[in-house]
Formats: sequence, C-alpha cells, structure tokens
Amino acid sequence: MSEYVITINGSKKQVNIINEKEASIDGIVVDYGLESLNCSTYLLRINNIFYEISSEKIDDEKYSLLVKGKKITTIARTELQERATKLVEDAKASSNHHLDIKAPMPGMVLKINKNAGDEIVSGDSILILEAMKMENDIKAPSSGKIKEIYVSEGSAIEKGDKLFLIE
Amino acid sequence: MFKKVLIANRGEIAVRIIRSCRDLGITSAAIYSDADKSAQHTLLADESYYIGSSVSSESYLNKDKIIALAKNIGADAIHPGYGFFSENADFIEACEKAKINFIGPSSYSVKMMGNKTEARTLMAKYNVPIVPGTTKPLSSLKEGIKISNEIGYPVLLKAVAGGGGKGMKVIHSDDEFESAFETTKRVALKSFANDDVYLEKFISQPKHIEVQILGDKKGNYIHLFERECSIQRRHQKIIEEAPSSFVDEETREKITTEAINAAKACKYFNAGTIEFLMDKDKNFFFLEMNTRLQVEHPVTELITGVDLVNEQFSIALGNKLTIKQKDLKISGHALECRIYAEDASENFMPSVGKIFHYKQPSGPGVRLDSGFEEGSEITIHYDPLISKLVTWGTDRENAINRMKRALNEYQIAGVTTNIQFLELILKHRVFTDGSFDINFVENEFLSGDMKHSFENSDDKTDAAALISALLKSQSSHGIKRNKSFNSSKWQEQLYE
Repeated sequence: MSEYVITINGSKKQVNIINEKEASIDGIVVDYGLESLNCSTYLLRINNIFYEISSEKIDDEKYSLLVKGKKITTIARTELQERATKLVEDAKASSNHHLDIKAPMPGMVLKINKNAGDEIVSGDSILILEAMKMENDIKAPSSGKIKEIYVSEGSAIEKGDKLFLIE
Repeated sequence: MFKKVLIANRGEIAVRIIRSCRDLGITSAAIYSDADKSAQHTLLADESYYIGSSVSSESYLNKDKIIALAKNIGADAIHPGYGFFSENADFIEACEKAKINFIGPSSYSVKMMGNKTEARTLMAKYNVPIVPGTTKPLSSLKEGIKISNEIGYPVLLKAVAGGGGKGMKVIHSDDEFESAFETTKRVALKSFANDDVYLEKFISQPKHIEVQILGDKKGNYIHLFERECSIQRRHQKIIEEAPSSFVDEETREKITTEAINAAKACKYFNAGTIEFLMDKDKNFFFLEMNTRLQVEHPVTELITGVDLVNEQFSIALGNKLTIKQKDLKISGHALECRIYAEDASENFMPSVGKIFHYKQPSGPGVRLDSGFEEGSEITIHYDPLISKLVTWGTDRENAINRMKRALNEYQIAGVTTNIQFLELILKHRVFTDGSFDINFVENEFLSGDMKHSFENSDDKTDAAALISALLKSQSSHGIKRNKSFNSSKWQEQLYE
C-alpha cells in the first residue's frame, strides 16, 4: 500500500493505492483501472466512469493534466515527501523571503512600471511584456519590496528568464 | 470561376477558405512561414509555398513577395482572409496593378472606411446615425479637453487608424485626459504607424450589434441580418451570436436599412460588416465598417444557409448577387465561441506550446473551424486563436445547450485554453437571459480572482488526484513497476 498527498489548486487530497484494483481518495474506496494509450495519454476508470487524461510531467512531483478536457495541475508527493516539504516551507516562512519572478512566455519588455527598491503590494503591475501581438501585464504575486529588476525596457526575453526579485 | 487562388493568410481562416476553394473546384495555394511548416493550412491546401521567416513582415505581411508569388504560380486571385492584408488599400492597388483579382472590396471602399474620422464624416453625410463626437483628428490636448466638456464626460478617445480594440481609452474627467491622450497616441503610433486620435461620446452599457451585408460590383445589396457580439474582453470579441435576442423586428428593419446605406455610401462590394453600438432604448450608432470577411461570419452562415466565402468569390468574378433579400430568413439561432490559447486565471496570458493531445467535438448542430490539430504548435508569432466553435440550435437555448455539450467534449492538451472560462460565461444568468452589455465580462468575471471561479471539487479533480498518485508510484518504482502497468492484466480489468 502506498500513500500520497496530491495538492490541487492549494487543497490537498489523500490518495491511497491499495492494490492494482483499488484505491481510496480522501478515505473513499474506489475500484479503478488504468490503461496507457500512448506516452502521454491515459484512460483511467474510477468505478463506472472513464476519464481520458493527457499528462505532461513538469518536474519530479508536478503534473499538468487534461482530464476530460479540463486542465488541472497537481503536485504529487508521498506522505513522507509531503511532511518534509512542510518542514522546509515552515522554516522558509520564518526567515526572510525572496521570490524570483520569471517570464511566463517569451516576448519583449515594453515598459517597466516600478523601480528597484519600490514597495509593492500583491497585484501591482510591475512591467508590461509584449508577446503574440498583445500587451501582457506582469503583476506582483506577493507584497514586499523589489530587490532587483533583471531586465530593461526593450529587451527580448525567453520563457523562464528572471524578470525581477521580490523580497 | 477562378482557377487558382492564393490564400494570403494562416490559421483557421486559411483552412476555411481552402475548404470553400475545394467546394468550388478552385485550386488552393497556401503560403507558410517557418513557424507554419507543419501547420494545418499548409498541409490541407492543394499547393503550399514557403514565403519567409516567422516574423509577419517577412512573410504574411510581405506585399511584394506575395504578389510576386501569385504571378509566378499563375494564381488569378488572392484571398486575404481577415487581418494581415485584408483591409490594406496599398495591397489591393498592388493586386489591381498586377492584374490579380483581390477577393474583397475596392481600395476606394477600404480607404473610405479605414480612416475612422473620414468614415464618420461620410456616414453623417448619408444620414447614418453616428456617436456624437469629432469627425476630425484632435489637433491638441487643449482641443480634446474642450470638446470633451461640450459633449460631456465620459468620452472615448480612439486611434483614427485603430481596430480590434487597440488604441482606445475611456476618460471620465479633465484630470485623466492628459495621460490618456499620451498613452493612446503612443499605442497608436506603435501599432498603426499613425498617432491621430479622435473623440466620441462614451455610450454607457451598450450592446454591440453588427449587420452582415453583401454587395456586388453592379450596385446590388442585401443584408444577412444582425449578429450580437457584446461578450467581449478588452474589446476583443469572445462569444458571438445570430440573431441578437435584443433586436426586435422593427429595430432589425431599421438597422439593416442603415447598414445597407453605409455600404452604398462607400460604393462597397464584397462581404462586409457594419458595426453599431445599441443603447438600452434600442437607439443605435455607427461604430465602424469592417471591409472584409469577419471572424464571426459562421454564425450568419448557420442561420441563413449562405456560404459567405463562396459569395465573395462570385462577387469578385463580377457576378450579380444570386440571393434575393426576400428569400432570406432567419432560421434558428447560432452561437460562436472563440477558442484561445490563453490562461484566464493568469490575466489571460497567451499560452504557447505544442498541442500533444487534441480531440474535437462533433454531433448535431456543431461546426468547428479550426486551424490546428494534434502535433500543431502555438507560437508567439501570431495571435492565439486556436479555433472557432460554432453551434446551431432551433432556438437560443438549444444553441447554448449544444455549445455547452461541445465545449465539454473539446480536449486540447499542451497549451492552456479559455474553454473553462467560456463555460463559466455560458452558465451565467445574465448570459442566458440575454440582458448583457459589452461590459458584462469585465464586470462579472475580471474583478475577482478567476482561480476561485473554476470549480474545484468535481469528480475530475478526484481523477486527477488518483492518476497523479499512480504516475508518481510508476516513476518511483522504476521500470519493474512500469511493466506491470502495461501487462494484459490491466486491460482485462478495464473491459471486464
């Protein structure tokens, strides 16, 4: 028997794989079957319902899924990993917090609305990224102070490039 | 009929035009950029020609290359689709010079309607109602503030050469004027290479109603009723329908008459759309004319049975309109949802990537105009429209139910789409009762955090949790475990 904690959009689900036929989701036992259709698509049956699921593994614990057309991102950890992660997070929260904001897509920095050293609140527009003919507002995901801005107006950036650092 | 048509576009609209070509027995010639080497339009056309790099100015927006290619391959016509060269008078003139038939209006009509202030002047001359405001570009900030006070705030500042919602701003007071004036001018200069702006009175809570017309080269006109496109986000249409549930017979009579007057005023031929804003009392005002095929043309096709692209070809050939106004009637109701690669929960950030799983809806009343399929890539180079899902029903409720069913069947993995967001809109009471205006989406959905709006506790979440655990256990148990997953025992369980 293996126990997992699956985090979906901030809320946790307890999944127990009892054997190759049965599992429990938040304590409710279900009958299941899984078939792999190709390297990224699966057919999962839970009791009498079939789910066509496409899966993209983002890292060791993160999955981007399309479940019957609905996009769901999950973080899958074993019970043990979950406890370890929580310990690390608690430790982080009590120390000084640094957050690097990365570019969600490639594009060009059109305008920078804030300067290094500015105090910001969550939701403030930090910079405008132009991509796919649209101006995209990159907002602060948390409150704090801008420690550093890594890019300048007019610079072309790739997906994942660091944009700015919030402290 | 034409022998060979070059389609100077990409994505779903290029595919749509290729299909009409095939129906009419015309050889279709597609063009493609580096990014579109394996795109659906490239694969589907009878002939496909490489035109240049992924940057639009090197490919889909390179006039000289396209015209030269058309001559080279013996194309007797060019269909521009929408966007790119569809409303570019220079391009049309270049076609005329090269003796290639442009499937669209004359450069004269495009020029008349392309400049918003000139179009307003022309409409005023022909007594088509326009929104109060200036018919000339503003000469200064001071003049703008003076006129705003005359017509009364709120006012709308718009780029003369603008379109698609780009380059306009609502201004509520003198204080806001200066910064809005500068931003609008900056955006206009960058986007349209023309920083002229003008003013209009801002109509509060209007509906967007537009009329589809067809005109031939002999001066005959018909209208194909109205579409309502009030479901917009940042002035970008998301859901369109025909007919409008708000427009009654009397209003329809008036607005379609004015639409034809507008088309006559600019000596229009081809398919065209006259856009109006309609206030709560069903007063309507000319907004602009789109001198091309519209993105949302399928809803009109479904309620009238007319193939608008086929009509465009026929008109371009110089044929008289074959359809008579009295033979046209509205049959049922049609709805279109634009499927975009964008993340509604992340401020509608466009999403790029390869579509690794794709399953499209079908069944009664469903039409899908798509430019992508499994294996296609959504790149940063072009706009993020994946497809247009269109449903037809005997009435509006039936069309909405079919749309809900179709959205539910639609599976696209690899990029984030707005499908869930569309589902939220379709469920909303204000959408179902039809009382929405153009601010509906902004007011109801964009103020809060979208993440919380997406349901989190349905059975799909359980399935997501279980498969994540199963995949995790597979990867942590390595190859040994993997084998047992693929064994026949599993398959037996599935189908027992």
